[in-house]
Amino acid sequence: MSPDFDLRTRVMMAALEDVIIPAIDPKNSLAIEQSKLLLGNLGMMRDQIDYYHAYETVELASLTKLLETLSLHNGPASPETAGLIAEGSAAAGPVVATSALRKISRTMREAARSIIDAAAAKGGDAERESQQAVLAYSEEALTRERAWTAGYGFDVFPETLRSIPTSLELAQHETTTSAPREG
Amino acid sequence: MDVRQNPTPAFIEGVRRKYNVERTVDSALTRKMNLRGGPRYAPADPAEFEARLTAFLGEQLDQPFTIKNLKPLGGGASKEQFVFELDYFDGESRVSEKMIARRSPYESAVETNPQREFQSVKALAGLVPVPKAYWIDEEGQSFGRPTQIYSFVGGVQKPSGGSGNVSGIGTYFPASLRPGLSADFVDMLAAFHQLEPDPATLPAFDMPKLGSNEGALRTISWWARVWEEDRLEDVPLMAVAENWLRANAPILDKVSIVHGDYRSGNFLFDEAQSKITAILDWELSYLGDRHADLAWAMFDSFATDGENGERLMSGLLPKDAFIARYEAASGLPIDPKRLAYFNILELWKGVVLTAASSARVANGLKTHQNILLAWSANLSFPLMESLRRLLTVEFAR
Repeated sequence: MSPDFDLRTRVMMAALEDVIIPAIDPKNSLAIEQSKLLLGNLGMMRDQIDYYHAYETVELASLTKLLETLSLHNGPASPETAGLIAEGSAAAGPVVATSALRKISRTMREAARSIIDAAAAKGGDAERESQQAVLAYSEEALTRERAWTAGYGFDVFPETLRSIPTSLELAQHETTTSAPREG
Repeated sequence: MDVRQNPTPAFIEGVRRKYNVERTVDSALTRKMNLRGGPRYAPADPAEFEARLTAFLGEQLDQPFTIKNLKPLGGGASKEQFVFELDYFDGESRVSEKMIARRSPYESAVETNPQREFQSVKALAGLVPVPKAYWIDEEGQSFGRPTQIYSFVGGVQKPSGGSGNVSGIGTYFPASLRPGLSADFVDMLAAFHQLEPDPATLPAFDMPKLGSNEGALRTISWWARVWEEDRLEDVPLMAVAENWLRANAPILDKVSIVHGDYRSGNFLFDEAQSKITAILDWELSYLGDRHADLAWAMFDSFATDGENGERLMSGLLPKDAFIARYEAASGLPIDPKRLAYFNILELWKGVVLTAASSARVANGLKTHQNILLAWSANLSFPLMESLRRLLTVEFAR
């Protein structure tokens, strides 16, 4: 069996830490900083890789739910949006490539903007409902995204910072238990 | 295919038409988009750079000169930098001065017309510590890419043994350094905000109208255009925030020179004297509302904890002390409502710079700091969390 991702990542980190970084000219601050960022990135990828497909699956489910909610409050979904929602709902099968999930998610994000801008142009209830839908989606999405990127050391809200598996479990619970309601 | 990575002329022109921005903002962003499909970054050869520098200075100086000890300088996420010593005749006598050349990469995470940084630095000389601005190659005719040459200022960006993330974000300053540095940090901000900008010395900038929200709307259009040009993927919260910002843009009561990225990491200091020796990185400067710099400098994400758990803005001083000192030093009031508005605008802009521009430049491998930019892109998530929290409060009103 081929060495798994964890083993391969650990040996790359060890090579950097034990051999390559000590060999860098101490005056070359650019090379030293970048090699440390490389080491940090490898460490984070080692933590993330077990959850990568689950992360993209949850992201897609979450965006599908947002598009459904936005469409409910802004008239019937356009054929393109309805098609995207159907694609998103069908895509989370076990044999779908992770990159394919990400591609649909990106298309959904662009579609959400069109509906949000249309709601803002209408104003009133349509705008308020779309704002609330986006805030609800963002709270769940940011819990997951902040957990995913915590290793970079930028987060300043420790009281709401979750581990990667916990954030994914919370998101799965959200998307499976609270279906959008008629506005 | 990602149209933003290989933009067509129609895409570039469509985005240009959609957003009303300043003249030199338009020219810089259009140049960026026209170059985006071009080559990735290739490491600079110091000998080749020195040859270009020699040719350039030959056109600027009419007496013989000598360049010595030219070498690349690490650090700096937005520009490729070289330090060198120049022996030359300054008009009165022969002098030897250490200088720094700042060359734009193939694409920068802060893509602006170099005249804006150059003119801001010249305008503020003598008022606050800035490097001396010597020469500029605006179009990159001599250096291949736009390049500016400044005096080299001594000082450090981080305290010895200090902690913090990349680009000076979240730098921890020991208690012994804080009184001196925080006084300088706030007083210098107050000093350049007080200045009445002279359009004659700042021709690269468009003057916003007093008593109108035109300037704020133009700033929103600037960053909305960058989001449209640079993003790898959209973020629903950004669309909601942009719509709210346009609907609530405040009236301008005084035109100030706004630094645009005023925080720890963007000044140098003398550790022994606890004094700021230079305020750097003026490429994002513009003429506008002082509250923008205040909001930026007081971001949660740039703050650190003091010994008693108090949050220190830009790692230096608590928020109330910051505001009180600024008002006393500048004589300019801080309007809490406008500060709240600019908190949202600056967070939104911060997400544009990190989630969109930093990630886009790294995606195209356009600079010497691609790995750092990809790392910095992750600052966008705590910024978005701050933005989400503030918008939740605003939408509940």
